[in-house]
Amino acid sequence: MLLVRLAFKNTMAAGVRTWLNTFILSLTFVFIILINGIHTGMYLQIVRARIADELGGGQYWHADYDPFDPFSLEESHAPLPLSLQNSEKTVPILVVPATIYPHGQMQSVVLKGISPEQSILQLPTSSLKRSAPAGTIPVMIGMRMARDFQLSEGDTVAARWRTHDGAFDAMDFAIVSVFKSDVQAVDQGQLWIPLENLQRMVQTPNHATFIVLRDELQILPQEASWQFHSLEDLLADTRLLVESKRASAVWLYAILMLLAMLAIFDTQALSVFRRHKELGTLMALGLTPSKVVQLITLEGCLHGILAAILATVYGGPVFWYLGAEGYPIPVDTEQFGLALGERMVPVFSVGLFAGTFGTVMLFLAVISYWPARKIAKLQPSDALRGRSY
Amino acid sequence: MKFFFLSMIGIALHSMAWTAPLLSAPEILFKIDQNLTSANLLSVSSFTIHGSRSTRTIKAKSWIQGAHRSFTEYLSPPREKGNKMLKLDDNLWIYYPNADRVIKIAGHMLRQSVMGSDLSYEDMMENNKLHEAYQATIQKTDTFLDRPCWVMSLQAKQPDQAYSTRKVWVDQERFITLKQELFAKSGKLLKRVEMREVFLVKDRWYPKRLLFKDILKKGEGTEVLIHTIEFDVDIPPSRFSKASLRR
Amino acid sequence: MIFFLTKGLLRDKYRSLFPLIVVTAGVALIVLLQAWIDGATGNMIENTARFKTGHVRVTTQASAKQSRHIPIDLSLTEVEHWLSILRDRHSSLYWKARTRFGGILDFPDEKGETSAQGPVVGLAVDLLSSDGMERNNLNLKNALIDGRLPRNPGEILVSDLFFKKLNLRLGQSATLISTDMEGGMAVHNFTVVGSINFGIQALDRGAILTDLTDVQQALNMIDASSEILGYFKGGFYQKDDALHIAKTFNLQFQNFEDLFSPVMKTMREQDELGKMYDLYESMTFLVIAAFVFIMAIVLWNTGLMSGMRRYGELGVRMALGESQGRIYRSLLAESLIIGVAGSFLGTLLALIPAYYLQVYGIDVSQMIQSNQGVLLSNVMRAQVTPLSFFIGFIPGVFATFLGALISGFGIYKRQTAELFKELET
Repeated sequence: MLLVRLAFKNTMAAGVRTWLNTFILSLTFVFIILINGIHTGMYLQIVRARIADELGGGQYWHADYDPFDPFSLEESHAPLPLSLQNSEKTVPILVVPATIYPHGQMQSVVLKGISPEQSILQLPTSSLKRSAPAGTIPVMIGMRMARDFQLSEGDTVAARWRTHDGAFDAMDFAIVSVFKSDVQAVDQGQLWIPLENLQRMVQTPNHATFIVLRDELQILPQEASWQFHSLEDLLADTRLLVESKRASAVWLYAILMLLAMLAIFDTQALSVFRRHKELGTLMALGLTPSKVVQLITLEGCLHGILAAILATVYGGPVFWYLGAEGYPIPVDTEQFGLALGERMVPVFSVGLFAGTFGTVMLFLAVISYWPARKIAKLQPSDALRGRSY
Repeated sequence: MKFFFLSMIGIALHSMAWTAPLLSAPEILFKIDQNLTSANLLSVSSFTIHGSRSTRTIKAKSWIQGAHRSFTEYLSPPREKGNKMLKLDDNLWIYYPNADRVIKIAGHMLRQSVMGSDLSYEDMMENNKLHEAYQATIQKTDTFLDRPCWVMSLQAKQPDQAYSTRKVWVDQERFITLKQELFAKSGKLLKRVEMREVFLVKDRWYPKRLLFKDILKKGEGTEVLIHTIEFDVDIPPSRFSKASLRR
Repeated sequence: MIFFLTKGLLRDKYRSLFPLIVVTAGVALIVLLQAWIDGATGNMIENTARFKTGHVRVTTQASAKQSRHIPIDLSLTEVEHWLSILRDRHSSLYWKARTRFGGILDFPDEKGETSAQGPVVGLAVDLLSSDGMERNNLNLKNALIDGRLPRNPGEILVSDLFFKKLNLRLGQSATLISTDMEGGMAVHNFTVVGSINFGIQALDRGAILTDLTDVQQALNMIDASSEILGYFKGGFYQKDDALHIAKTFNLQFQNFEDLFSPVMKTMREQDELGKMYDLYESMTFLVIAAFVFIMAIVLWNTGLMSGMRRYGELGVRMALGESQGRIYRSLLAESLIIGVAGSFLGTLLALIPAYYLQVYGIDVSQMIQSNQGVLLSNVMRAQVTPLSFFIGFIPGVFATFLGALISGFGIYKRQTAELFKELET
C-alpha cells in the first residue's frame, strides 16, 4: 500500500509531464474502443438487416439452387416438402427468371414469389395485397431497382416469362409499392410478387426455390433435395468482410500504442536516470531493490489508470451518445457491399472496455518495467553519492 | 439470321392460288401445313434490322425442308459472310468460320435476340405444323391489304407451345396469312407479323416483304425481304448434317 | 557554431542519442501511419478509379445515362480521333480506351465440342502496348497467379477462381460467345495464357482480361470502345484539375442532340464517389492530424526532458560565464539539429517498410463469398505520397524545438548556483 501511495504521489508531483502522457494514453483508449465499437456495430447492423430482410433464421435451398448462377434458376425449384410446410415457421420463396420491358427496353430480372401474409421477413410484403389495376399483377420492388430502371409506385411494366412447359407468358405488372431495404440482395434486379400468382404464372403449384425459416432453433428434418443453410453459413461472407476491415484497423492501434508507449518509456527512462539519489535514499531507508523496481513500474502503470479515468471523463459521453443515437452516414455504402442504412450505431461492450484496458495495461507494465529493471543492480551507497550503476 | 427465314415461313403461311371450296378451319390449317412441309425450298432473303444507332441489312441463302430442317448460309455483310446455321428438329447449331467453332445454341442463349432483331432464337426453334399444334376457329371475315380474309383464332393443343394463342388473317383466295398476332398465355400480345407485299412464284403465293415486330420492345421492327425463292429443288440429305457446317 | 554543436552532440551520447532515437522512432511511426492510412483509405477509391471510373472518363451520352451495365451498342466510336484530341489537349493525363463486355466463355474438347463453359464479364484494355500503363493500372504483375501476361494478340487472362473451377490449363483455347456492337452474335477464339486474382470479388467469380484490339475485332467494334479513361500522370486524383478538364471538354464537344456524342465525367461525378471521396479525405486528414498531434506531445515531452536532465551541465556553463541567452540559443539549435536529423532518419526508416507495404501489401482476407457486388480489394496497401516525405518533420522538428523552447525557460528562472547543484546528482 505504501508503494502505491508513494507511486501516486510521485506521479502527481511530476505535473504536466504526467498529464501529457496520460492524455496520450487516454486517446489510445478512446480511439481503440471507438473503432472497435464501430466495427462491431457495423457487423451487427448488417447482420440484423440481412436477417430481417433476407435470411430469416436460416434457409433450406433446393439442391440445384445457386444464387450466383442465373442459368440454374429455371430448374432449381420443386414442390414444397411436407415437413417444411408450416406457414408459422417457414416462408417459401420461388425464383423465376423473366424479362421486363421498362420504357421499351428489354432487361433480364428475376421474379421472387413470396406470400403477402408472411411475417418472418420484414419486407413489406403485405403491400402486395393492395389492389392492382385490372389485368395486372401487383409487384413490389426495392429502391435500387426503382432507380436503376426508372420505375416508381403506380407504374406498370410489361413482363415476359416462360411457363414450366416452355410456353411464353406475359402480363403487365403494377408496382404497388417501392420498399427500402439496406440489403442489396433483396432489391437489385428483382421483383417481388405474391407467391400464388407466381406459381400460377409458371404453372408450378406449391413449388419453391428456397425456404426461409423463422428461427434456427426449429431445424426441421433434412430432406434429400433440400439443403439446410444455417445462419452462420449464410452470414460467413459478411463476417469476413467486417473482419477484414477490423484487421486493417489493427495497424492503427499498433502505431497508436507504440506512440503512447514511446512516451511512457521516455518518462520511465528519465525517471530512472534523474532519480538516482532519491531511489538510493529509499533503499537506504530499507526498501529492497525489487521494491524500488516495483515502485517505478507502478508509477508507469498509474498512467494507464489515470488515462482510463480521463478517457471515461471525455470519452464516456461520446460513447454513450454514439451508442444510443449513432451518427449519420453521409454516403451510400452499398456500393462497397455493406448494408448499413443511414445511421451507424457503434456497439460498445464491457468486454471491449475491459479488453482494451487489459491490453494497454499489459504493454504498459512491460514498458514501465523495462527501464526500471536496472535499478535492481543499484548499490544504495553509490546511488546516494549520485554515481551510476 | 437465316433462321429468320424459317420462322417467317411458318408465320407467313402460304397456299395455292386457287380458291378452295368452303373449308373448315382445321382444313385450312392442314392445307397450309401440307404446302409448307412438302416444300423443299431454296431461298435468298434479306433482313433489315434497326439498331439503336444504325440500320443493317443481312443477306442469306437458305435450304429448307419441311418445318424441321433448315440450313442457312450468310452472304453479306462481309463480317457475317460464311457463317452458317443448322436447325434439326429442336437443335440449333451455328458455325463461325473465323473461330472454326460449331456452337450449339441452348439454354438461356435461346432467349437472346438474333442479331439485335425482334426475333429470338426461341422464335427460330418454332416447329410450325399449325394443324398439329393448334385448334382453329374462324371468327369473322375482314380485309387486309385490300384482300378478303378470314380472321382465325388458333388455340394451342399442348401447353408447351411457345405461343398459346395466335390470331391470323388468312387470304380467302390465296391461303396466305397476311397478318398474324402472337399471344402469351395470359392473352397479352407479344409479337405481330404483317405482310407488306406478296408475290406469285410459279403457282404459289408467297410473302415478298414483311415486318416482324416485338410488341413489348421499343423500335421499328425487323423487315424481311425475299429476293428469290425456288420450290421443289433437290437438296442432298448431307446438307442437313453438322458436317456440312464446316464445309 | 553548428559544427561545434553537432560535434558536441555526437560526443555526448546522453545528450544526443536518446532524444535522437525517440525522435527517429516517433517520426518513423508517423510516416508509416500516414502512408498506411492514405493507402488503406485511398485503396477503395483508387481501386474504383483503376477498375471502373478512371480519374476522368469519357463515354457516349447514352452510356453515361445508364446507371448499371453499359450495353456494348452504346459504345463510343472514332476512339482514335478522340484519343488524339485528349492526348493533345490534356497531356497531364494518360488516356486509355477500354471496353467492358459480357458473354460466355466456352472451352472446346479435341473435337471442338463444348467441354465446359461459364458466364464471364470481360475487361479489354491496352495490354500489349509497350508503355505498360494498363498493366500497372491493373497491377497485373502482382495479380498474376499462374502462367504469364499476354504478349501476343489473342491471348487472355482469366480470373483464378474461374480457372480452377473449370479445371482449365494454360495454353487452352477458349471461345468467347458474346454480342457484337450491332447486336449480332460474336464468336472469337482466344488462348488462355494465365490466371489472375483481381482482388475484386465480383470479377474473381468469372472475368477475362483481353487486349483491346482483340475485342474490337471480336465484337465488331472498329475504332470503338465503351469508354476512354484518363489518369493523372502523378498517379493521384486531382479534384480541381479533373473538374476543369471535364468542363472544357464538355463545353466543346458535348452535343445534347446526339446521344452518341462524347461526354466527360470526373471520378467524383460518377456514382456516389464524390461524397465517398470527401468523406475519406476528411477522415484521413482527421486521423493523421490526431496522430501528428499526439506525436507532437510525445516529442515535446522528450524535448522537455532532455532539457531538464542537462540543468547541471548548463549550471557549469553559466558559472564559466556563458550568458543565459547564449545557452538558451545553443539549446534550441541543438534541438533543431536533433529534430532535423531524427526526422530525416525516421522518414528514411519508415519509407522502407512503407514502400514494401505499397508494393506487396497485406492480404487481409481470404476470398470473400458474397452475393453483393463488393468492390473491395483483398490486399491492403500503404501508399507513399508526397506528404510522406515531410509529414514527419512537423512533429519531429517543431515539437522537439517546442520542448526545448519551454524547458529552456528554466535557465532563466534558476540561478547559476541552483543549476550547478543539479550537477551533483
